[in-house]
Amino acid sequence: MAKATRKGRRKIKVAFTQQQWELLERLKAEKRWGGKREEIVVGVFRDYVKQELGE
Amino acid sequence: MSKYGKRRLKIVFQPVEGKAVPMRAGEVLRITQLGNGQCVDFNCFNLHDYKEMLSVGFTRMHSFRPKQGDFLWSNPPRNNPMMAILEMPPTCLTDTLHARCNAYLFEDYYGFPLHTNCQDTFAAAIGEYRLTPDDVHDSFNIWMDTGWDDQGTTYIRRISGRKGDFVDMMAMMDVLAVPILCGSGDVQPTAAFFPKPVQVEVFESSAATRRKAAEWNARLKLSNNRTVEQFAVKEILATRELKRDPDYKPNFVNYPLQSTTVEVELSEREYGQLQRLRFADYQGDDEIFREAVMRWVFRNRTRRGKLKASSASK
Repeated sequence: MAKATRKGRRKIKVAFTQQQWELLERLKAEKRWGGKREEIVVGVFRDYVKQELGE
Repeated sequence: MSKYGKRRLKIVFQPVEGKAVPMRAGEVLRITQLGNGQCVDFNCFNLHDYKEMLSVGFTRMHSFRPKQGDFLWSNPPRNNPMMAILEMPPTCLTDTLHARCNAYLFEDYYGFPLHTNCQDTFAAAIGEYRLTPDDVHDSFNIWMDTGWDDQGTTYIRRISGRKGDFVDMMAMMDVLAVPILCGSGDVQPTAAFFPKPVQVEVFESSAATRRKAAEWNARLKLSNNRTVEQFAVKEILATRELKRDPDYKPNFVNYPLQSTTVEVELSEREYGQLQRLRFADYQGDDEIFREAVMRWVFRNRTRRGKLKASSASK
């Protein structure tokens, strides 16, 4: 369940397996997703939303 | 494809013959229709290690209907291309669903005490190399038009092959190729209800075919093409009864699988979008987020295009 934070922002704890991280950390080399794991997954999530919802 | 070497074998199979034919890498097997449509079933073994054989299952993962430009693959964990389909006319549809017909099936369907069938024809053909009926495997079926409906029922359409159609397949490794004529043709549409002869030829390799085989093998080679030396258990059983090895310890891959948790922060708008993405009603927020991320990776960062023999030749 998401935890409400400042100004309506929500914090979510998400687990990824070591194998999923292996794929996700390759994205660091692309230099558009950020260097931290949190930045990468949020960036990817935003791109998926864009692709799926067009927003 | 450039010219093949000279023809070294020419056989006409009468219904329902077959033959196990050793082939060296770069040699080409040509199968030609002498009538208007006869299904040809195909098995294939590594000539130097019969435990490596055609995997219709793994081949099907590349295409339900392998066609010109596709490869026939060996069983995991070997995963090697065994044959490359160099030539195949549009009137040759192929099948990876129907495995192989067998005597049991014809007894069950029609009440035949014994009807010609692919299992027994394969067994008769490979016996020349001391292989047993248990070594027959699901076949790649050439000139066999099959499908399935939404309920999972499979069906066979009338064969679309025409007299003079031919298929060329190049050995990517040294193989024992086993083409046979399907035994179902007089009672099914696989030979339009009358079995017909088929011509089988083998052409020696040429410098061009050897070069292509080597080039494609190099391009398809991955670190996970396993060899017997890498197997935890290497010996082939010499007895039929299975017995437990009390000292055996299984070594599962990446076990136990570890996971790491991160905390992500979404804006109110993004959180609303997350809810709209929900993939299943039981999902928590973290599950929706993870699935969205991994769906993106699958869609955008995996190799979806497959290497084709036709494109590899350019």
